[in-house]
Amino acid sequence: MGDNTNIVLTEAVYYILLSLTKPLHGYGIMQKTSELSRGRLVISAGTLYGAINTLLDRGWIKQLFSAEESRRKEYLITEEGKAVLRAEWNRLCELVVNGNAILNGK
Amino acid sequence: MEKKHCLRYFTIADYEKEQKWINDMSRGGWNFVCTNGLIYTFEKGTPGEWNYKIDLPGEQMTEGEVEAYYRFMEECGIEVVHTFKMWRYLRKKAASGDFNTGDNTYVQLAMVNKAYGVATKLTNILLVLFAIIIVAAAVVEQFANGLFAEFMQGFATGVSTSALVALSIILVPITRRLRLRMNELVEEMQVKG
Repeated sequence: MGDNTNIVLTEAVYYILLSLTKPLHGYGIMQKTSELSRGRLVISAGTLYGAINTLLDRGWIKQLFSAEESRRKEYLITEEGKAVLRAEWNRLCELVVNGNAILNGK
Repeated sequence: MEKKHCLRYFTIADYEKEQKWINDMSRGGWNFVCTNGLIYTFEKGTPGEWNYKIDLPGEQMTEGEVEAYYRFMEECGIEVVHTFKMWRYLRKKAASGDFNTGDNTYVQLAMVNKAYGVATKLTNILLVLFAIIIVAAAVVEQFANGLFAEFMQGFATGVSTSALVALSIILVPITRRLRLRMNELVEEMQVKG
């Protein structure tokens, strides 16, 4: 596994990872993402499906095996995923600080 | 239920146009049911109840993966209305939001890329067919003579010329349009995600 501290996440992936700090199934992720962004970011089912597979491959999220006989799979962020999310949050903070300094003279 | 049949033809490069037309029909109260590539069947419904989208599963997906993909879609409230060759006609309730609002440049690019893959595959099939016929005609010419050889030669020339004409008239411009669209989207991705 390479260095995860220098990865720029897409908006969709950032919100998916944020949503998955609590276990959710696919449709739940779509709703949570829309709720977090106040309806601004709507992830299409196709995008979400691709993103979930990529994140599982990278080990940033994991699939939970639910006790009930449900066909819906639930997902949760892993420790590695949390590290990536935190690194991205730091990067975003830097963007805001620099933007503030130059645009608002703060 | 009242049905309506329409005759239309869309090339591989025109799936966005086809999708728009099917959605326009839906807004007019005609819900898409099925197609054989030429005849489109609709049934009477409530105007604007459904939104439609034409989709292609990824080229490298196995059958099981394709099944899992569309099962996931179903969990998200998306129904596969009809399958024609590799194309899937999807729909979801218009009240649950537009199909494409979440589609960023990347998603559009992925879809054009898949369509490009289909067009390229068709081109390759035609080229292989062309090569086989040329080789067969050459072999027949070497080892046989008389009426049969002459017939084979004529047949080979006819078929391979038609294959080449079909290739250059239909597939080359389609592939070109898809490639240009991909370039446009790649350029767009440099500015926004």
